[in-house]
Amino acid sequence: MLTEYIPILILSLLAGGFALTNIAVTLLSGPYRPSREKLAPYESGMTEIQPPRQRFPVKFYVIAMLFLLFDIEGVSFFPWAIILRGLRFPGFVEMLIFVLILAVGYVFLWKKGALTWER
Amino acid sequence: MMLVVSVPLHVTLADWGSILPELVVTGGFLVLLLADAFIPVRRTEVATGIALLTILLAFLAAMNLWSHGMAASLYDTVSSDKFAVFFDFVILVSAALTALLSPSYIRYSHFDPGEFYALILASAVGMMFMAAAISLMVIFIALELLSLALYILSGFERSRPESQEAGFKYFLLSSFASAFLVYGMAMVYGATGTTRILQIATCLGHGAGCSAAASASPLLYIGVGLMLVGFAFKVSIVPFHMWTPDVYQGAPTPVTAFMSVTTKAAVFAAFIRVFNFALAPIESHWYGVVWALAIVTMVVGNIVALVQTSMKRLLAYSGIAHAGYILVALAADNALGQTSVAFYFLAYAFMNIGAFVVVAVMESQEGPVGDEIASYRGLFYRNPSLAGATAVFMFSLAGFPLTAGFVAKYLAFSAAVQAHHTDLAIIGVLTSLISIYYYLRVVYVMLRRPEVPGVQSPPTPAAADLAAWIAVAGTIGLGIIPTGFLNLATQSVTAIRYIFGLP
Amino acid sequence: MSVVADIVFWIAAITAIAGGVGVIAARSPIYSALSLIATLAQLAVLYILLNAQFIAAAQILIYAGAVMVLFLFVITLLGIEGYPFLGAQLPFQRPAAVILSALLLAGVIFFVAESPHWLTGVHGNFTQQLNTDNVRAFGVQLFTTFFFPFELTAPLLIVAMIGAVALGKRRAGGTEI
Repeated sequence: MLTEYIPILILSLLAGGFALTNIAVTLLSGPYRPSREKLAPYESGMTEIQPPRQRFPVKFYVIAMLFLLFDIEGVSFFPWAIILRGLRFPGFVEMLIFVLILAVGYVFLWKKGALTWER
Repeated sequence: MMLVVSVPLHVTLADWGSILPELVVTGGFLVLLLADAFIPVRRTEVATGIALLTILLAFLAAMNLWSHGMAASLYDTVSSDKFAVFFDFVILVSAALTALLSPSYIRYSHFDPGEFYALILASAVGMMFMAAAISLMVIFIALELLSLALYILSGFERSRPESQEAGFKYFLLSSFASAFLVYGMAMVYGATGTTRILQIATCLGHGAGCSAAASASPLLYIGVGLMLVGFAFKVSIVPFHMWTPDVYQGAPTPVTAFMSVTTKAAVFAAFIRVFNFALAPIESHWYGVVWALAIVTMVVGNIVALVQTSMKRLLAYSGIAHAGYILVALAADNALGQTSVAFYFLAYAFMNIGAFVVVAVMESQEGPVGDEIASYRGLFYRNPSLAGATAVFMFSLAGFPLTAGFVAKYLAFSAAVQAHHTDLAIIGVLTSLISIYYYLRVVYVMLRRPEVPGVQSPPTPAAADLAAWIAVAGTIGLGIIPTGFLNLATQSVTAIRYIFGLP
Repeated sequence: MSVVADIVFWIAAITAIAGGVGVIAARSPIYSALSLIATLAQLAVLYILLNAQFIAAAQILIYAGAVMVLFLFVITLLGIEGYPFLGAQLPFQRPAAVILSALLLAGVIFFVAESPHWLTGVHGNFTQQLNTDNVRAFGVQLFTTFFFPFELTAPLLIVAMIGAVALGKRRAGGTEI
């Protein structure tokens, strides 16, 4: 049973290993002569004009909230897709109702401008 | 190898027909959203019109269901029995009164009318499904639907910090209570192996393959306790009532009016289905706790109400006290008790929303101080009709004869006596006597001579005026000729008891 | 097989607890959130060990993914530092927390030691459960028996969308929070 997850294990080991190797290689191979300017946060080579840690505007929160909602919608497709052949047409209609109701919400969001990025 | 196992789905048109009132309101909700998206509903009248039309259509559908319905449908998750339909009536009447009361407030506070009414309707959908739910799953999701809409509505007045505080406080505390409820439901499911209310009752009565072990497992009792906490929070029963005054005071007044009645109605309907029916076989185990909660709620609600200076806080503590009276009827666990809960909410819809109509009118005329009881001074001389209506609501909430409140309380307490819980009835009557003081204080303040004599109030907005008169008519009508409505309540309870094989 | 499962269990369990300690011990809320991601991801591994693959996938996609993104945005919305009340606590908070956690731990140990059967009642056969196609079984339940509660979540999600717009979006002429 668990053998099915070996590819996932390999993938996560590769991903973690890649990150760690990169850090290790940079640390070991490069010269390390820090100065005030070098330790400053890098922003396209420009001198920073304001502290980098700032409060994010609330619009990020709205986007994250909407992402979460549509993510939940998306997750419910997985078990449905597995048994769709067994459910036949009624199963299709069932999901159609769900998606159509949410489509109303999507249209509402779109028209209300929730998906446009305010400057 | 692709193995196709057939998974038949059985849903008929009759299934959908049995939830027609809810579907109508859902439809109205979606129509309002689309209308708001495409033709931004700037005019409050348009949104109010769509909302009222939806409520009217749903009311007609509910009346139709009353004569034809009464079947469990959609895989036994919702029932269209008369008990559910009766609560549909209560919720729809409350929603209609709220829709009449809201327009002036919406204009005054610059709300988006489309979103406002969409949320009211969404909340009503949740409430109606909660009252009709015969599966723990539907109870939970319907509760979340109604609560989520109400959290947003409570914080809808973004320009006022109190409203934001109310929305946030309600959201945090109430979702914590929802967690208790759903955790309890999971445990009850673990112990009984079903989420259906009828089957839980069968299982706990040692039928349907359940042995005595199921009704003796600690899991069941932990689950029942957690569910009790969840329900008690939602209907603001002491000691889970702390949120009520702050939220009632901070939320926009039409929202407070709506939620003060309908949330309690919907949750109590589910509360009755779960505790009086599903958990009836283990009544001796939960009775003591409910008994204590009812007494504490009646005593604390009424005593703390004595010292309030804000009308909305007074009505919040009054609401807590009324939750206590209703809990007495639930603890009675008999047909009369359930009938009185149903009737109580019909009466409560008129008298309590009526009282909040007055608060909303006062706030629109006097600004935020309109919430202070002191600002009611001399109202009889400034605006006699509004003061008269207020007096009717106060008398009814206090339970004076010839008002709806009297009949409701009388029924609740006689149910307790009939079930040999005379102690609860006596405490109920005694605490009602305390309540007379704070209700009549409002009437007394209105009768005092105004500080500046001869000033007349500006005219009441027509829609709010209509809501007030409907509420007065309902309050007095149910008080003088309760028989017809009582008959409906009895029929609704007979229907649900029949399903569970009770007389 | 079971030895492998045991090893995986211990790695996941210890990492999950370490992440949990990280959540409360980290100085910066950002590190707390990152530790929480570690915990949630390890919980997904535990769900897989319990043969609850769908819950595991939902855990990764919804919790470790979307919810944590939301968390991080909220943390950055509030500002990472300069909130003195973050350190504020009630005078009796520490002893109360210790006592309550000890009670909870004692309760869990008691229930586990006393035999799971005593707690879980009579239903279900765990070994049999482990050998079923869990996602399929879940789907069959969700899309037949519980298909109505499932449909009811659609309005719930819409209401949440309205909430995000109504409370989080800048009004015409209004000020941004």
